[in-house]
Amino acid sequence: MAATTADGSKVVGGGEKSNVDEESKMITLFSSDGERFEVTQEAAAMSQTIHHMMEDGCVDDEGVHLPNVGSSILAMVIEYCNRHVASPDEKEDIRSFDAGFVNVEHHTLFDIIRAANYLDVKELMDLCCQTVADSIKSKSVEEIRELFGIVNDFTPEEEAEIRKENQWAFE
Amino acid sequence: MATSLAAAAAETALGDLPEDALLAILAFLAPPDAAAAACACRALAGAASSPELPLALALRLGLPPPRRSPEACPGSARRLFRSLHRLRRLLGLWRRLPSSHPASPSPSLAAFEWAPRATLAASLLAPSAHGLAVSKSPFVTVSIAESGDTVAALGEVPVCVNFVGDNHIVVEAASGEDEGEEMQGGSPPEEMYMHFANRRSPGAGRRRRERLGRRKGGRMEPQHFVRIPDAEPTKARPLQGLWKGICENRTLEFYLVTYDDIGGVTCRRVSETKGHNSGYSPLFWTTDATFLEPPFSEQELDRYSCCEHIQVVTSGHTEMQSKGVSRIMCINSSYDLVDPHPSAPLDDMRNLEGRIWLYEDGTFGFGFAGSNSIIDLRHVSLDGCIVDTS
Repeated sequence: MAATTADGSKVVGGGEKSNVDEESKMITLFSSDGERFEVTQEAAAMSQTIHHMMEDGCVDDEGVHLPNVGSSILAMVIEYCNRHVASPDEKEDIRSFDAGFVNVEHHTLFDIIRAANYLDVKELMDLCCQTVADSIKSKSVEEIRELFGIVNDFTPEEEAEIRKENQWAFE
Repeated sequence: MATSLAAAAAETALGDLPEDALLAILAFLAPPDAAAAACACRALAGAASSPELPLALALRLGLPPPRRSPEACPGSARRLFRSLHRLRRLLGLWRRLPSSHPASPSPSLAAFEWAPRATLAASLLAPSAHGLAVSKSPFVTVSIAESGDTVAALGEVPVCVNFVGDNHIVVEAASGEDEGEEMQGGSPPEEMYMHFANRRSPGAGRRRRERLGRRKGGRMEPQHFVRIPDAEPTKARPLQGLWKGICENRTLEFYLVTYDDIGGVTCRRVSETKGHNSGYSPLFWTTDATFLEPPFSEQELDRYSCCEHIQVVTSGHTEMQSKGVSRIMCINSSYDLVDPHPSAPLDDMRNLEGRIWLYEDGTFGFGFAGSNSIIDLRHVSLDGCIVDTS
């Protein structure tokens, strides 16, 4: 049973989770492969994209479809958001959670970045981009390519030009 | 579950990320690292030369969007990016190194903070005349010109603020060219050599200055500063940081407490640079930074209660000090501090022991055997902002 609350947002009946507090409103998210995720509106609002949709009243009874985010990645993003809304003040705990969270393969990290970019979850975006940046620090061009499996798609002339422009990296 | 071959083909690579994401990653990198990444593939090269990159960095630093130069070429975007990073590296507290010919005592501490319109304003910190407040006098301002280059000035005089490594800067009169020269890599002696080897000959600088008709006559003495890397305490290092307190002379002094790699703590007094007294003299130290936890022994409690907190007298009434002590540490003093002209034989004074009393609010006080005073210290900066300024 869905009811309209005072601020116009719809409460999706969270029947499956009987221990959910009456106060915490839930929202359903659908991944690209059709999997269904129930999250609190508070956690979902960490995504500015979803937050704006909720504010503009664009969320219907069914929930939000996210055709750009697969289930495994969406699950991780939700885990991040849940953890961060839970106890935002415990900096030390959150730091260690974040460190464990980004300890994944590069391609997974890139998928999370894509999802965080699409969903506009600034903190998650910053965390993952900082992690990638940290792996790039103090590495040579060849080392960077090897680390991320980057294919050199420059022509020899282009490569010479680019290296010349960025000469100060090699001094 | 996809087969490993299909999975490998489907795996997202760095180059597959949208430009927004590449910009975000590059914005976390110092210019040399961003330049190296730019050489890796086309996608990264494109992002690195995009005018959106300095914009991304400015936003991350909480600055207003930089003015777009009329040329708006990749070169100016790169210069802007490099300048923003330089400004970011200047942020924080710095300690002046004594110069060879100190003309007059000058404040030893400089604080570089953001000012409006993406400018960095440095102030010199000195004890004010009023109690615990710190006075800030304007020092150097560093801003970014439309060309993207860094421009620095001391009042009306153009200056250069050059890095020698990451934690040492030199503020000197601008020779008029290549203000942005920066030494990268190499060991510190190498950098120092490169810096001085690349300086223009004094003649060239002087001729140019005369041509430009500088009002401020005479060469400005280069001023060297080293970074104060940990200016605030942390949970693990509660004594660390730059502190201020009223000393026995009833004047406000600055104290810098640092932890070393082998579990020790050292405190130095940071005073104005004058004469042979380097202005950075050791005060107390310990090789064992472990605290005594409550309950404290009778002896310790007696010792604390017998001491008198040195207080600041403001318009007739004294500040009441009644802070609870949460932990105690044993320390040793440097003999020359306690009495600069020891009447007692040196041996007696050499290892004067003392105590640090850590208060519940995170501040602490210290005192030594033979004296019943406690010098109480407070933070100079909290969360990156200088507090209590006048």
